Amino acid sequence: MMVFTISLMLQWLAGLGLLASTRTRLPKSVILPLALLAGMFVHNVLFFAVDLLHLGFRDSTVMGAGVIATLLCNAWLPRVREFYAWLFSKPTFTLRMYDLVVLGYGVMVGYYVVWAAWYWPVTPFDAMAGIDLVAREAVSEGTINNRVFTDPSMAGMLSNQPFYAPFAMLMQVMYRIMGFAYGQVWLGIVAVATSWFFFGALRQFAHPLIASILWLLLILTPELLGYTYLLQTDYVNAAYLSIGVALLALGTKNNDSNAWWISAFMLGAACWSRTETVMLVAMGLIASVVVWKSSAFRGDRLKFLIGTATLSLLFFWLWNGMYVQWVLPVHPDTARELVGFDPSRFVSVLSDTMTNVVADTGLWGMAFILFAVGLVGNAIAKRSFGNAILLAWIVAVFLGLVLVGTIFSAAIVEQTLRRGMFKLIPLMFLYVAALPVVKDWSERLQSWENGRA
Amino acid sequence: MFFSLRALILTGVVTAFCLVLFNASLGDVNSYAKAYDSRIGFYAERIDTFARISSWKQRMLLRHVANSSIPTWIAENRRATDTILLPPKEYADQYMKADAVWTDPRIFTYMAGFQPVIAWADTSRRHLANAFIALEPRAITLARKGGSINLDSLMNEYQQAIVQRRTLGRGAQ
Repeated sequence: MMVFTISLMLQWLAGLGLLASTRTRLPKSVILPLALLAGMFVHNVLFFAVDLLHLGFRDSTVMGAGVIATLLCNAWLPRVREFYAWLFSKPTFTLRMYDLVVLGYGVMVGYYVVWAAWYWPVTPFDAMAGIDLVAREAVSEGTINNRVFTDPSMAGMLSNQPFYAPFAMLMQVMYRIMGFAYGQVWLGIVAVATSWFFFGALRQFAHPLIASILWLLLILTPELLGYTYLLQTDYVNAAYLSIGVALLALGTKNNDSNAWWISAFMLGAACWSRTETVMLVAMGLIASVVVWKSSAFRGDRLKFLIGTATLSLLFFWLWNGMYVQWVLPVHPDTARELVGFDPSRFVSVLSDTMTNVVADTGLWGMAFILFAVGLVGNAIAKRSFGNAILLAWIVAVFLGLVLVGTIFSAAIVEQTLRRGMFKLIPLMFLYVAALPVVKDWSERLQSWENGRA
Repeated sequence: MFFSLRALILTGVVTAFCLVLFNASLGDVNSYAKAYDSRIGFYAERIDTFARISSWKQRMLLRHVANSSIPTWIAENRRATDTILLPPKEYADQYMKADAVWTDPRIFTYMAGFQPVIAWADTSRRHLANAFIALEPRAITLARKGGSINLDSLMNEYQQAIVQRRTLGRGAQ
């Protein structure tokens, strides 16, 4: 428990240091969960470096990687001092009476999510046959390159699960070393931090009451809620990608391009958690270029595009290009799963996705309905499509997922694409919160609440 | 302002919204209540009962049932010289309520650690096996050459299970 507590603190400090170094200034309700998630990622990558350097996985290397992550991220002293002075200045959060009700429910859900992640063993087939199988053996042998990849009983039987992008697998290794029998508690922590982030982010766009209602709908989204304690790579991937895009939107709204650095970093982290994300990020970047138009396509925007592309490709390459190809003795047969682009298959996957996945309110509750109604309603009332950058990324990620379903035979609509939709859910709620029509309601509600109407 | 009549009204609205969202199924209209109940409410009601099950092994068994107990039993009861052929999933499925995922060597290893096993699909190494798994309702036997179980009949049962599943699959289509 000691290693866990210290590691968690180190991750938080590393994340805060990273935000300090990039001069990110956002509300503290956004900064604090963001720092934890960013720190988890830095710790994760440095723990991967432990394996590259053949230092062995054990509690001392978990702690050592955490300490180095913290020191590295807090090395830019003038910026770090300035940031902590700002962070520890008087808080500006105004608590309203109804916030207590919303937070009460939110904390209750968070408690049971973390409890379930701690209590239950790993159950999804993909995790038992892949990331957690590799993680368990990595704990006993001290390296990712272990017997799973060499034992005769596994020869020809590995499929692609053990080769999944390493974020979740390395978290399993760390948490098993920390003493958690099933490892997956980190997933509950990621879920709590992600929910906390969107609690703050939604309030940046809409009145706290509207934001609270949207937030409750977000955290209770049926399918998303289930995967907050079921070990898969999809929830963590969705968390990092959606937060990356949310930061891009927040930075744009606040005219603060410093937030874009951390956005690029979180999008890179998403590529470290699921391999196909690199395609989705590429499509998102193309969509950004279209939205920003070539005349305004300069300066910070160009830096963001180059930074995101570089980080995403780097984290994609580190695992898929370097480790899997050069270090592991066996490789997944990805080429066999690539079926090439076929327009008729694209239409068929799109149609299946719409009818079997998107239209299922049992999976997504009101998420898609609210998004569609908001989009159309706002277009009629305000003659605009709302927050262009959020909409562009939502469309790009959706089409990207359909494209993945088209060109990879292993990507099944009802499985892979269904869980791929996790990325869209927070973004759709954020998009609704940012609609001009909701802004009008927010202003009216604020006036009424303040007794001016 | 924290306390005001308007703040109280808004709190009432939010409370009513939460109560409906979390509790009222309204047939199939409110999928949130149903999802909350099956994902969180179920555990919340029984957390004391669950908390009494403190053994990690017991929780594993509680969740995975035969997919955990069969590999563990095989690992504990095999002889040092045994190389075990895992049966096809179709055969094991006949004796289990849950999906017999333990027949996949990755899941077998996840449950019981590395053991000398050969997957049914591994046709190039199948001939190296000298121990075989025979299932009956609520019973499991490790069959070896010269034992009471006829190995040819067992292999025939394996094959028949596969054929039967294929036929059923075609029928379902």
